[in-house]
Amino acid sequence: MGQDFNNKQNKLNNQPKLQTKDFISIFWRSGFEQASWNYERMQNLGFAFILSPAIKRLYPEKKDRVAAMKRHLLFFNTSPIMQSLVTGVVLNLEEKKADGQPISANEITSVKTAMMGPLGGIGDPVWNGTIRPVLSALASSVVMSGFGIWGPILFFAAWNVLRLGFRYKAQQIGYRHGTDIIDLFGSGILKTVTRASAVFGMFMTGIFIAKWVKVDFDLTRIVIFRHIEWINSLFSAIAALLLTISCIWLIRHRISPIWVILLLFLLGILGYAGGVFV
Amino acid sequence: MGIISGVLVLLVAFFVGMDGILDEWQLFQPLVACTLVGAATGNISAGILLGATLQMITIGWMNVGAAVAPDIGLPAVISALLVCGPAAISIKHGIAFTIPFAVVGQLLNVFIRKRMAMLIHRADQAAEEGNLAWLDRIHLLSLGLQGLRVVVPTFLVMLISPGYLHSLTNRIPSVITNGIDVSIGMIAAVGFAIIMNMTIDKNLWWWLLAGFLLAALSGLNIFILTIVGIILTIIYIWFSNQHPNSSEDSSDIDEQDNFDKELDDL
Repeated sequence: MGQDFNNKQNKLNNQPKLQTKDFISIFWRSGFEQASWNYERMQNLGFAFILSPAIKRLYPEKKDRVAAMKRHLLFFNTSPIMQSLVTGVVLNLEEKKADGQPISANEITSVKTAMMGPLGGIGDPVWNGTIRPVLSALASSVVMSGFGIWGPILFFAAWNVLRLGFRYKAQQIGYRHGTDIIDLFGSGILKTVTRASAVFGMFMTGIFIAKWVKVDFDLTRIVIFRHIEWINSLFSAIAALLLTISCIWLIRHRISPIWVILLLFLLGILGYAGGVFV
Repeated sequence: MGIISGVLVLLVAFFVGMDGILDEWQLFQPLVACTLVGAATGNISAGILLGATLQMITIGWMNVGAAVAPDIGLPAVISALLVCGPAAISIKHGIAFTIPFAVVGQLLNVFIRKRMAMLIHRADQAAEEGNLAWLDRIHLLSLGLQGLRVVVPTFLVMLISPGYLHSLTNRIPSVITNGIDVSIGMIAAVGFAIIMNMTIDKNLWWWLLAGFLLAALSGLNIFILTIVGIILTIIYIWFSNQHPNSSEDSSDIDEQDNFDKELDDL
């Protein structure tokens, strides 16, 4: 991140610059953003906590420090992993501001606000809606295939390598390019990534529904199912798909998932008692 | 249960509780949390198996925007404690226990998130004085509170006699136990429904259907199907970049809608 250059600069003029250890400390702190998540200003204290080493380095004067802390305690909320990109851009801006360039506090706040919405809209579907479900489902399959401990290990390792690698890169790129990053939002790259993840995620969800959702109808009661094996499995798969679609319908009608789950427990118990399920 | 394994379980609970709010390391996902509790109680293989089963149920449970989903970490730790610990209840019963604790965990989480406003005002004071160390401490204190959110209920469950819990589950009529067993297969649908509800649009239904039919008809295993999925996605993206104008307009509008929805949530 050009630290050698910065170090030399420091000796030339007395302007504080961010050091390697600040970047490392901020990278580590990035993983703690949500600890103080609150309904008033959401991730505000989290973001201030992440920036804390930079504020300490850049603003030795109390007056500046107070102002910096206050502006980063304003409302903030985005998808946690994507926040590293915002952090990088803000570090770039704060360093310039400390250097005496004409950047107002309002500008920094509005850059944060401009980034958090779109990044939240990308981060949640990609990380929580695609990468995590696919990794955890594959890892569960590893367990079910008899490889035991390798399932959790692979899940934990794969997720965290991706997450930490992304955070590191995003913070670096954000810092290097500053507000130019916002141009990226208009370009096709983010759209392509979102689309690819959605396409892959839905394809995999289709597979998971066929493999894991089981509606155990007692099919031996119907004559035709007793004789033709493949109709049996096709029927079960279609039942699984219809069940999933019913669940979406209920969720779309603002019924909380936990109620849908309770409903399915009830359905399972009553169905078993009535001999529909086996 | 020995004192050492009891302390280890509480330690796991603490880390699970903290990671549950952070949503970073994924220690709170059942696959990891149940394995760790299994290791702490010396019954790791039961923990792994319970974790994999629970993982399929909780797979789509996620906090989107400001909405708090049913909790995953608390039920994972407690059902693993009941299954792997001295109570030694069956996995079926362990899973039945997760639902009430998912609700308890969610309520506690919302409670802390509301109460946190008090600490946020303290942080404002710290900012007023330019005291960064104080600000850091307030943030870490709230992380600790989120850890205790899982530790305290786990400790309370430990106080209940394991023999009593075991006999309690044995007294449950077999109709209910078997009914729960049937339900477990169906409940996985809810998680997938949550994921689909977030992502799906008109064109994506075809992808879902393609994956579904391929899996249902071919009988290939999941790892081969994943590779097929990756290849198809690459081909699709390559193809749509070659022909940027075909049918991209509709997805543009959908995406815009998603952003708007996200903003509304905030």
